Amino acid sequence: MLSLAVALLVCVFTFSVYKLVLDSPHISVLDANVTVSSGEIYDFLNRIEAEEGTLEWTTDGEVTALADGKMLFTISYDLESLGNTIDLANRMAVPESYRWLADGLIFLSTPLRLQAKAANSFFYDVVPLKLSLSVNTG
Amino acid sequence: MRDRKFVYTGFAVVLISAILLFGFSGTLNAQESAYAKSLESVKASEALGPANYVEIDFTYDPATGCFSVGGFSCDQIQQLLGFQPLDKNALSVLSEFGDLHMQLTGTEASISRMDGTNLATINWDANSRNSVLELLGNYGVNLNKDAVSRAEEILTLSDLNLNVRASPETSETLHVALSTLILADIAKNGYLSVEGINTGLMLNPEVVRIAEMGDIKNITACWDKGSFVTKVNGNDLPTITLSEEGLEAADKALNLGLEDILPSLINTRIGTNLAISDGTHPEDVYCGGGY
Repeated sequence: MLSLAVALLVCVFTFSVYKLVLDSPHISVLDANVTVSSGEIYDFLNRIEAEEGTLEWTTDGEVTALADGKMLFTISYDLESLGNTIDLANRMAVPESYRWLADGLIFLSTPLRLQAKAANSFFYDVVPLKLSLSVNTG
Repeated sequence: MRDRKFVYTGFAVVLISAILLFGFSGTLNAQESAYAKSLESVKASEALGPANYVEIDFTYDPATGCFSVGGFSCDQIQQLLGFQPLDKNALSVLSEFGDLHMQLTGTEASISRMDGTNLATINWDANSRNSVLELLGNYGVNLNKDAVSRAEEILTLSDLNLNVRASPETSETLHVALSTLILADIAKNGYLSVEGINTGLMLNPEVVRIAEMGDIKNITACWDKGSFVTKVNGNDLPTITLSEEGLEAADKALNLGLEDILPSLINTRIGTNLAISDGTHPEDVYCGGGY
């Protein structure tokens, strides 16, 4: 029990340092580099005269595209706007005649949805993660 | 017994510390999300209130009659719009006046020389304009009341400027910052009308069908100096922010041929309030504020 209390104390201390001292830096969980010599992405990078294209997603609400280190565009979202987009995509993807089936599946998957929502909120608000994919023309 | 008391005390300390630290960190560390920051530039003008600002620079070469408007060169205007250089009569009239600055706001219409010499000023407001319309109505000139009301709504917030200069150089790029959203409607059959005027353009009926499938009644979209902010049925969607490099890349990738107007585009504010099928236009929505 004492060791459990000490472990909890260490966790609280570490998290406090992460939040208060380090100011919640993004935790990089994926940093992939791919080299392409042909294909649509290669053609696209050649058209915009860039040697490297990078797509970064931080779970605190930002998707950034860069070319040779320069920002091209950023998509910023919060949980509400993300939910609105998913809802809109859901309505546009499912024909109205099958909407009842989709609504039923959504209802049955409530426990899963709640878990996904909790995880989404956690990685949005509490511990933001960073995923990065770079494509080089070689 | 003593150990148990120590453990319980330790637990209490940990729990109270956790509550205090998380609560404290939540207060201190209330960082603005990236989404909120992306809206800062859009909402920056909210404190100033909605306004429609347009500045058009018109230059003409007195020797050749060639003219340039809004950053488009003489050659581009001839190629895109088919306009020919000004004839001698027009050049003669323009040279008499010299370089001019014309301004139209909700309270004043004025013409002055670029050196500041005032040539003519009309002071007006909504009441005086209404009086003129009533007078015209008495003589049988009746304008559509909705169109007049809409024009009045736009003019009240407007500051329109036209500079006319005798110079062989290409004119300055167009400066457009409109807070008032342009009203557009897409009918069930796909026909597009803008500000109540049928454009004759017809969208692919599939577009209307997809919009109806998604139960989309209205879309408000605002391009505000690099930020693209959209709402569907009043619900916010993610914000897209483009840099000048991003616009250049899009221009190269899609071969849009917009390289000459990109500097102007990045500093433009313009938006649309689009109603689809039997949808309505949300009110009190502006580009760059009240959004």
